Amino acid sequence: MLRYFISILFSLLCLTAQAQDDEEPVDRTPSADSLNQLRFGFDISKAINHIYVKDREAYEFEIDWYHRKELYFVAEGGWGSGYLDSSYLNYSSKNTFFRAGVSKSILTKLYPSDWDWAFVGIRYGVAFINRSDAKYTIYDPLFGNVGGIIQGTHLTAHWLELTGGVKVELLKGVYAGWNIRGRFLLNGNQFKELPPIYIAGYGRGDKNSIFDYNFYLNYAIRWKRKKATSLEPKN
Amino acid sequence: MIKPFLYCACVVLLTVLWVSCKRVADPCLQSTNVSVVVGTYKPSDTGSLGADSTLPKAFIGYVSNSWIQYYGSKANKFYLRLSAQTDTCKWFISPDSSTAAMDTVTLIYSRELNFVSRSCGYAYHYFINDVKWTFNRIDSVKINNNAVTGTANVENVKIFY
Repeated sequence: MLRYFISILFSLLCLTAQAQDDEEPVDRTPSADSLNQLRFGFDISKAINHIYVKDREAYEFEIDWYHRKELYFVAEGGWGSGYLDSSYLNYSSKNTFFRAGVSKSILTKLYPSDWDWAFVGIRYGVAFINRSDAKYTIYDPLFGNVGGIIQGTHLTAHWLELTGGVKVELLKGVYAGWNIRGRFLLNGNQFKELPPIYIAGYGRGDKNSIFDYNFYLNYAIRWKRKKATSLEPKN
Repeated sequence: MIKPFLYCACVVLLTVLWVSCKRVADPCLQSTNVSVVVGTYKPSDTGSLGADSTLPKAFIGYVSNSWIQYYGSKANKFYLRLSAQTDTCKWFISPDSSTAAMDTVTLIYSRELNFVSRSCGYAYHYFINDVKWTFNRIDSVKINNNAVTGTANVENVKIFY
């Protein structure tokens, strides 16, 4: 899983690098970090996906803040649910989740107002899950079917993820971009016995590693950074 | 910068299509009913190991519902089921299909509910606690492995003729 993820990530990064080479030469002098940027985003891919996949839904949001030197602090969150309705098993789960981490741009700014970026990042994620009662049926043509109910419970999932992608400023302050993610569940043992159907922010509850993607629409606000005041005495 | 974006949008679109096409209900491809593996033996110098004894025309079924599992089978390994609704199960056994002097074997067991998968739901595993039998043709019955979990190559019960 990790191998595939890293391969895809590097392939795409190479693509990006190739495309950069095609463009006309520009002065690549790094710009000073003169602006603050706070960016809000919504993942439209999950909302669209729910139109086609009815048994799971998720809503994901993100906020990132440009720190300096192409480093961004990122917080993400959302909620979602899933259900399973089969002849063997019937239950649902819903959860909220939070992710936090950093992203580092791998492209140097071409000019001060160049906020397009291709990035790699790392996240820690946590989800608070509510799994409903589960009705099960064991089919037995010989002695008769047996059914029962497994009590619902509250679970917590922790995971780490590696991510990479691009964001392009289409209009002033308006971005569109995608990223891919490789997620690795840290407490998978907790989910061996009747895992949640779907963990919004992570993916299938019965998988210890997940490959996922997002397609974000973002809006950024910027303001001038305060200049550092000198503490040295004036002569 | 717009070039990689277009490339990557294509990648995302293809991924979405791939995921959409791949998304089908997971079928349950395994049985959720496990069987007790019964071997038939004749006593030998090796003690409880015994020597394989093929029954010439086995006639085996369940007393509770008169269901016949084997009829006229020439074999020395039999796969028999336990009821998930009770804690005992009684089989009738005749090695040569004659109904005269048939034996019964009763297993007393405990049940344990086990999660199999999201596709298949749950299954019962059984743990044999005791065995009782009649002595018309059977010499003795031994529990070889009391865990009936569907594990391959595990023989649970040995019947000595």
